[in-house]
Amino acid sequence: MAITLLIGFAAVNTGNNLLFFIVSALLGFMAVSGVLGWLNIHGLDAVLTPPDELYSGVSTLFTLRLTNRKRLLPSFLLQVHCDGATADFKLMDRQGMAISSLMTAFAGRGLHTVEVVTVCSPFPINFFVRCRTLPLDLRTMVFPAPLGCPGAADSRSHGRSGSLSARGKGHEGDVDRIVAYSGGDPLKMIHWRLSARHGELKVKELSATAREPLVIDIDRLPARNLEEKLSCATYLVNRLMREGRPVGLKLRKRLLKPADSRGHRLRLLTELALYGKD
Amino acid sequence: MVRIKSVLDILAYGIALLGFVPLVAYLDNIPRFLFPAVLLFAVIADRRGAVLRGHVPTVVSILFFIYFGIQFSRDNLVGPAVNLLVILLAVRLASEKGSRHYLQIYALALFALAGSSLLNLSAAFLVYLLLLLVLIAVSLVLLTFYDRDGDTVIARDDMVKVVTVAASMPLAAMPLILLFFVILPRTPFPLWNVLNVSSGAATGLSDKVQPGAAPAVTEVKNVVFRADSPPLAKNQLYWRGIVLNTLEGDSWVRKPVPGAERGIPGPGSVVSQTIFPEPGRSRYLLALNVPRHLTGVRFATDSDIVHTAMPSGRRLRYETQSVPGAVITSRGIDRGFYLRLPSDLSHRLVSLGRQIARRGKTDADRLDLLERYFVDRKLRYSTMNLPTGSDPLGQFLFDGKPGHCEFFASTLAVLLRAADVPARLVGGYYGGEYNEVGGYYVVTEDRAHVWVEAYLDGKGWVMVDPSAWAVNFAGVEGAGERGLNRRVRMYLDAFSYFWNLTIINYDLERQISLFNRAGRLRHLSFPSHLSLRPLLFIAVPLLVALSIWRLYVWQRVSREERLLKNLFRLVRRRYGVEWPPDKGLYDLARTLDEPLITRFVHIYGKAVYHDRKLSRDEYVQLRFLLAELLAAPH
Repeated sequence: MAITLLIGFAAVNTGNNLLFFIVSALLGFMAVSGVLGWLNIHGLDAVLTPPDELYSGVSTLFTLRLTNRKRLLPSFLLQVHCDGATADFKLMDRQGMAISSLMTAFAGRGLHTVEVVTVCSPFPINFFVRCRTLPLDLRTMVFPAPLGCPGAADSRSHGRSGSLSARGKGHEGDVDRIVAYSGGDPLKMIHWRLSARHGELKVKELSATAREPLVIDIDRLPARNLEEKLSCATYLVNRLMREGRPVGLKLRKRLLKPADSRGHRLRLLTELALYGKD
Repeated sequence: MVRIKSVLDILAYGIALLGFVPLVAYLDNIPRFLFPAVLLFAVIADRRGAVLRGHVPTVVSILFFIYFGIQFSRDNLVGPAVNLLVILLAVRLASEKGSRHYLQIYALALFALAGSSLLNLSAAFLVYLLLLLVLIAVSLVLLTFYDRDGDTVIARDDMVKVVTVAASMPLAAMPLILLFFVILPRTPFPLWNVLNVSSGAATGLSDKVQPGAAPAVTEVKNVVFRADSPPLAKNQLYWRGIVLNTLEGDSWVRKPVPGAERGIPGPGSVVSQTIFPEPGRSRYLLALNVPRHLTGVRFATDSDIVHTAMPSGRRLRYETQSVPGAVITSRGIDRGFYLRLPSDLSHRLVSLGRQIARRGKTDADRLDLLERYFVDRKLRYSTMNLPTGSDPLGQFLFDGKPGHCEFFASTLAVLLRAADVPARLVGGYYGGEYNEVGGYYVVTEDRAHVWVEAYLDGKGWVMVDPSAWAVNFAGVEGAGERGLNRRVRMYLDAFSYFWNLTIINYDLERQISLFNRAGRLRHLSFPSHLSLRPLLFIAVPLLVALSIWRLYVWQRVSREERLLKNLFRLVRRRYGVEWPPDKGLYDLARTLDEPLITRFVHIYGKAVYHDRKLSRDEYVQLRFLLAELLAAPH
């Protein structure tokens, strides 16, 4: 800009048309770079896919799928921001699609919505960073933060020790199978090499042992307040079911019978997330 | 995979070269030879990582600044400036290059090209500018990648995509460039004319004819002028420039026309032309013989129809109306003045003249007799083996030596005067190459020509070209170029012609006329009493001071401080809060409870409050956070 002004000043004062030509070229170039920068962050669609299990306050990996709808132009040097998390896309082909991961956490249980992500880029010239928001309309359930509570049901006190069957998954033993990342899995269980190959996150499931059924009564859990009780219940549901034990839930007015399927576990966790929010 | 830094280096060499090449003919020897050597050094040193580091480049730059600084003067501004620019460019190439240094190279190259426009107005400028724009555009985009990721590599395919988009930017900007060129404000006259190329002069036409001064004449193909014109018969293509009316010793020179003589072209069909002279030394305005009107330029006219341009500082262009081959009717000529001959003139010539005078009764008879004499002598036209010595005209006419137009015209004029017929020489150009692409004649220096005007009683000044009486005159011009070469040259010349027509000659007058034609500005005028000079004297120092201050502040303020200033500005704009500097950043984050600001403070504090500068990643992150904050909805 300063160079343009300086040469423009010289052009007006000397009446030299070649200097006018340089000034025109610089102004034209600036205008085009502005338009190109604008186009670079337009024509983009973002889809944020949450994992099945999200826990309040626990950082979890989201899958961000970015699509470039532009028919002629690729997009360069994009940075997508969502709730403090960032994903980089160096080059998006025209009408191309790219996937990245965003590590983010939600505070508070219940239904959460993410309405926008912000996409920013310094392209084409690193003088300005331009940003715009992309609509998302993501609605996702956040379960209570799993917190261990002393004195609550301990699997070891009720179950039979030994190595029964290996129906449930655990964090020790041999690799049982490879499944899609659910959000509740520790990061150390992510199989990065396979994830890269499949374009989505994969986790190793290790074998665990099976135990007897158990019903968790929220009101009788040893915690100071409701939130702590729900956190404790979440912890127990996950831990016990991971050990292969069928778990039920006794809420104030309802009883959910023990079962040990994954769908059942998610149902229990959803009940805990929405408890008292009706 | 391609290393971004390597590509940036190569582009920087190209950009610097494009700054240097247009200036090379105008540089002192030091920068002229130093630059290529340094460029070579830079290519090798960059590959080996052995570039100049530390304070060495700064010291060298300062020394050269002083060296060229003392050469500055009011009359010599551009020379030292462009020399200095090329030296700075060389120093920058030889030293280590970070993002900031690359930007400096681009700016210096652009300034160097701008400097060249003050020395040369050729159409090659457009080629240099376009190339420079493309290279700078690609470099700036790659520099953005470099700034983001550091010295990293990029896949070859991706590099092709990046370069394609970047290089298309200047091309996409073309319509805008032309629009800006047309609408950018022009002043009625240049304020700093001292900086410009002296383009007011018209031709290299000599105001002295001295046959016999040299044994041969070198023919130069430089373009003298172009004339936008319909095609004409060859014998009409006499371009009038100067009239030489006095023979002093062995030279024809121009003296003020005496008496109340006033020449007016006689009747005939009128040819309208537009003349575009190339810059040269002479002030005489050329036009097809005999010109009746000239417009579009400030000039003075003498009574023998010689037009002299007033200095204007701009490149000339003027319209003419001529009557080819017309007789100039002239009243009140001083016969004695046009009959005067030096006393030491060749005896042989004088006695031949007297003899003709006795044989011919009228001026027209005498002219006919002389024509017959010339034809009978079978004189040869040549630019080689010319007669020299004490009596070159005698040797030419009587001893069978060949001569060129100056010999023919000079000899005839002398004989006419000796035969009591008033005569004078007319200097100008003969012929021209018609460019069908552009519809104009190109007249080159080698077409310079001299002919004679004889005053015939009862008629007026009649044009006579004695060179046409040479036995070999028809073959003098030669076959010229044919085929592809000629066509290529014609297209190149047409480009240069349109360049001058549309770009170089574009001025306020044409701008207003263009706007008027567009029907927008019908009554735009500039008050003639308005002087911009006082404004200039205030504006220039102000701008210089501002630039220095900006540079100083920019250098002094660290990027950490700049980021913080930007944050506070955003906070002020967004929340209307003027955050006092003595209150902490963490307080700010807590007060506003904005996740983006909290994150900014966290990253910033982690570095700055632990006595460490921001890393490249942190800096980029913070810039992105600020941009995000700017874009975020309230």
